[in-house]
Amino acid sequence: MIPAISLAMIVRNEAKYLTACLNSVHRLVDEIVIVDTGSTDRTVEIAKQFSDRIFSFPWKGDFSAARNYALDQCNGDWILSLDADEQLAENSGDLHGVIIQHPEYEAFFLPLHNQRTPSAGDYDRCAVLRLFRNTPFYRYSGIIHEQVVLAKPEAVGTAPGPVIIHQLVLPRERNSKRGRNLALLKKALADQPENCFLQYYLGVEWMGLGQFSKALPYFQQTRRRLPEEHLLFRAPAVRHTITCLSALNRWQDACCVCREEILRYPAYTDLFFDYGVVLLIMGDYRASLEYFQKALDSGCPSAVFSHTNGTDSFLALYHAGECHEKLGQFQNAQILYQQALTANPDFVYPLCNLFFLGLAAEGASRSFNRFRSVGCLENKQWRSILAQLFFISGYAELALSCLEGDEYLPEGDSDLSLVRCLVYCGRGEQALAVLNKLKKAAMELSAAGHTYQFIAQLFAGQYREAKNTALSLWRQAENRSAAWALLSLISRCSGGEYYRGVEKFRETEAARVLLNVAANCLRAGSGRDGAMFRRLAAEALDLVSGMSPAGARLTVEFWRKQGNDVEELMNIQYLPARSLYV
Amino acid sequence: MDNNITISLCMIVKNEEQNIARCLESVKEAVDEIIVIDTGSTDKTMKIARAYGAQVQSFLWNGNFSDARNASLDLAAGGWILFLDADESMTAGSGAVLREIVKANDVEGYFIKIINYVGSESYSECSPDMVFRLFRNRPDYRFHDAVHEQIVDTIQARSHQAKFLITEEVVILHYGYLNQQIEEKDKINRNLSMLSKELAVHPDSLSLRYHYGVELYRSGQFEASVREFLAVIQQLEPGALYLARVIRYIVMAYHGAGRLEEAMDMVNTGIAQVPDYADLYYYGGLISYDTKNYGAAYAFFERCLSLPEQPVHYASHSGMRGFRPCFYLGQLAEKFCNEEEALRYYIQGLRDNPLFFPILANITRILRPGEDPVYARNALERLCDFCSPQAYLIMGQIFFREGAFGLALEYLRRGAAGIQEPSLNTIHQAVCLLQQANYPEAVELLNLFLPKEPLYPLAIMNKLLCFWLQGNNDQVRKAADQLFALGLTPDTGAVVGLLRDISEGKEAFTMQLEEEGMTLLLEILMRTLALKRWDYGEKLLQRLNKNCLTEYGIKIGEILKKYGRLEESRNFVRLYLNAHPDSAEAYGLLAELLRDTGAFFEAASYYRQAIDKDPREPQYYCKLIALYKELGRAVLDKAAERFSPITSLVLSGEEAGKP
Repeated sequence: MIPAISLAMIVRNEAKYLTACLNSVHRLVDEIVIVDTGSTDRTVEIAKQFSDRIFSFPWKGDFSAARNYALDQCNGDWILSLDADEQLAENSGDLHGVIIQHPEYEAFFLPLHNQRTPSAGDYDRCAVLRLFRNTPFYRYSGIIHEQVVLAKPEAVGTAPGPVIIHQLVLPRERNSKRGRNLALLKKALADQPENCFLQYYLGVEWMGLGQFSKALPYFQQTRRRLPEEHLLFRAPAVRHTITCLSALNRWQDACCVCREEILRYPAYTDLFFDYGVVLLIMGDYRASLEYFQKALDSGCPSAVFSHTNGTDSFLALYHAGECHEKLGQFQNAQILYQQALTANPDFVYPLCNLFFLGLAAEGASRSFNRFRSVGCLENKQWRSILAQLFFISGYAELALSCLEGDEYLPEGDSDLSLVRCLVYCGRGEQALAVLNKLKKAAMELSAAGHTYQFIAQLFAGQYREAKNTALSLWRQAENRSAAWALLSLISRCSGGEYYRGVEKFRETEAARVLLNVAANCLRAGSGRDGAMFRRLAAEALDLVSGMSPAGARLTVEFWRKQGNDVEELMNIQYLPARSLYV
Repeated sequence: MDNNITISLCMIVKNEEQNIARCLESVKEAVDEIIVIDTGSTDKTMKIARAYGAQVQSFLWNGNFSDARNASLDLAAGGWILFLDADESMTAGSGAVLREIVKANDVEGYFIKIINYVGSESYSECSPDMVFRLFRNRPDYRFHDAVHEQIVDTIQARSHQAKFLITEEVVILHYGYLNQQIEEKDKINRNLSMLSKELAVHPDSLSLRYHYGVELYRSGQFEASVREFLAVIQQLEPGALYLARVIRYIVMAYHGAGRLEEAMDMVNTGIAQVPDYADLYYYGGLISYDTKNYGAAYAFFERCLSLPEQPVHYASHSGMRGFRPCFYLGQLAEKFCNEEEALRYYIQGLRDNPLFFPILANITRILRPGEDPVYARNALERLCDFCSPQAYLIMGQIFFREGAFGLALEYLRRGAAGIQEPSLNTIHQAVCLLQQANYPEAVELLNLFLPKEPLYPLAIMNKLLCFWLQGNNDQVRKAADQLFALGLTPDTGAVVGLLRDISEGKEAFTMQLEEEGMTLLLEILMRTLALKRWDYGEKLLQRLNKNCLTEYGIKIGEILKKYGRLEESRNFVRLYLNAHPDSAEAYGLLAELLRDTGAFFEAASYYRQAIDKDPREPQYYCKLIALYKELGRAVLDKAAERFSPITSLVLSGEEAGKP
């Protein structure tokens, strides 16, 4: 007989996430029970679209009470417990299958992926007990970070799926709950001062707030008190200890913890990785490499170990690449970065390292050719990043070559990099054509878009149109300063006197626009229209530095920044000799 | 006899009275002149050589084999150069073959068979090899590298079509490896064979194997030496007394064998075991420097300077914490356009070893004695104590190379005090006089050379220049005729003809010159510019065809820039750049020219191109940064004008206050 599964949830003001959550799970369960603890938004309305078993339970400052109330309403043979900001990953496993295959178990750990950044693949993995038999004996305890209490640990199985994905929560949103959590935890700890789990969670909250010195003792306690086979909490506590010690610059102590725990768990990939990172920061690149290699060799640890996705592949490859880079072994570094990118194309940091390494070791043109020959330009995200990097490094033509063949897709006004490249490669007509296409698609041009259009028109000799572009900017109250900047510039370029007497409060914004134009013109520098761009840059800079003493200061700052950028580039290969060039 | 098939024998000797007669006896019929450079014999070597009619010159030994060899080349007047060492001789039939093969028109040099005698006096063992010892005498074919001096690659670089042949019929016998020779290298061989026999008996003796490895290294058998040392180190106790030395030898042997990556790995392994051993850091620096890994090189050399006194059992080489790393650190600083820091390192190095010639030369270059001789001289005299004639000669040569002709003259005169015979030094003095437009005195000195002397052509050439610069047509023609009578190579002849034609105001037509002619012509161009005679320089360049001007555009540009002809320089560099769009050097030079004429933005974009073409060269980055700083300063200056000086002060004060 196929067991019936009830989804049990408690919710409050979760309208933002609830639909996605229920969409991901409603076909996999037989019943949905949702207990609302006092929502003031559309939460209940959404819930009702998926189920008629919606209950309300007044919030009493006790998570367990609410959850147990939900359990009381469930009719299925098994319970699946989820939070609203979680989802089941598509095609990651079958709940009924898991239960039928292992009749000996009373409950299952499911893998949970905690998204660290929006980019795919960047998550921590841990195991959570969320699937258990519906009996009156299994109930939650603890007012916060409540757990289901099972008498027999050996009756808990570990299922490879389905995978629960915990959505990336914006820091602001998360921090808003931290105060409440801290209060509840402190209260709970007052009742049970020896509870390792509460201590662990308290550490997590403090760490989340960036208070590493406050968090550290809690993790140390958890680490000392829990037996080493209690991996579910001990393993993350160990890793958090290392994180805290590192954040406090206590590198030697972090090393000690790593070495000690590696002896205890000699196949724990993430420990090798963490140790590698600590050694990397301490500058012991050779030792660091050794541990990243161990991490790569060890593969993904079993489900009960807390694990950061990629420590056995792209993350280890990426950091190993950094070690080689620091050791001046650029070729090895390039190979590893390339492997990291292949292992996870969405983790793009190695691409930036590859770019700057290429710039330093082989020069922009050769580096571009290599990117093209290894197929990096075939990935849309990669080529757009590379275009950005080439552009800001002063190689506008190469940036344009990255994007060559891209049809401009009017997805939004945010990505105007193709337009920017066209403008500053002296291909104003083409840039204007793209902008016109955008306008036909009824897109609103941003101030930056207006500026590109303005420069393109200027270069096409369309002074009247350029002036109109600036004037249309003027009509938008928030862009008046930018408009002033462009109008002064055109007046300067056509030999006129520039608009005097800009209001004091516009100076900074106007200067920003002009300095940006100047920076881009200098990047364009060497092309066919080099002289025109240089002239424009000179006018823009002179406008700013002549505006006021503050303007002069910004211009001085501008040149300093140009110099600093070159220094940064030098640092890649010459860092130890820095005192010779700084 | 046609000058092109005459042969000059060139030799470098020191205390070779045992050998030199055998050598000269075997070859005297086969060559037309014998030039012997003596690097400080205290025995009868020079006397024996003179008895064979050799032209013997003493050369102040500066630790550089190439310089000594090149000094002999400077004296050679034959069309071909044959190089022999005193412990070599030629087989009986070789001479006739030699005379034949130099008649080949299209050959630039020959690889000759050499038989190295090893083992006992009975000549029982011999190992044949090929060596490059016979080549055309051209002014730009010169040796390089201080110890393992080379010339083949120079010739190839100068003329890409140069054809080399191998002849097995000219045979050199080399006795240098024989036991009977009481010389270092034979001691090594003797030791090697002794040690290998001993090792056969005691294969487990680490100390025997160590010494065997050392001898192998000293005999240049680096690969074999690596194998022995690796065998030793595998069995060595971690705290063994000579662990440090074994590690260093492995590094040195890998380095010698050109296996740089392995050498570097060994440096790192070694540092982990002997973290305060200066020699390891020094070699680490050297390898990094050679592979353009300048960041790492700096860190290694700096580390050398910070290390404590080395324990005796490290057997640290001299200067490993002093002048050696200082020399390289100075060169690094120069690569980063930081002359101040470079001087600091050089001076520190000089304190450790006041006689280290390369440092002295670099300091002098930085002081730009050509531009401000008084300052340079004062600074140098504060730094070092020149008291011996040798020191004066060395400084004279350095000043001469830097174009500080006034100073060079003074030092060369002091260095040559008491020497009557006209020599290369005399020519250099004459050039110094010429370059100060003191033509009569220059000519007076040049007249000391007689037609038979090897430096005679050079003297006439300079005389011709004296007259040319004075516009004395008759004398120019006379000198040119004298030169032609001596027999000139076509290329040199073309230049002489060109000078004569200019002087006579003949119709200008453009011509193509090869490497040899161009080298000479550029030297003359530089001299005319140094004399501020651009009118003459311009005439020289007008006679060259487009191809020549393009290929040499960058060299011409450099010369013109040095003497302030910025606009003309720019045109020539652009010409070159069009034909060589990947030349970082050309982009860099153009950038500097643009900067000097105030076109800052354009200069910046050219520096960026130079960085793109050669991103491992630090100077372009540094110059770009300097340019941006200058632009920032210009803004400040203008702010002072526009607003008030106080505003500018406040702004720059903030500048200074920032870290």
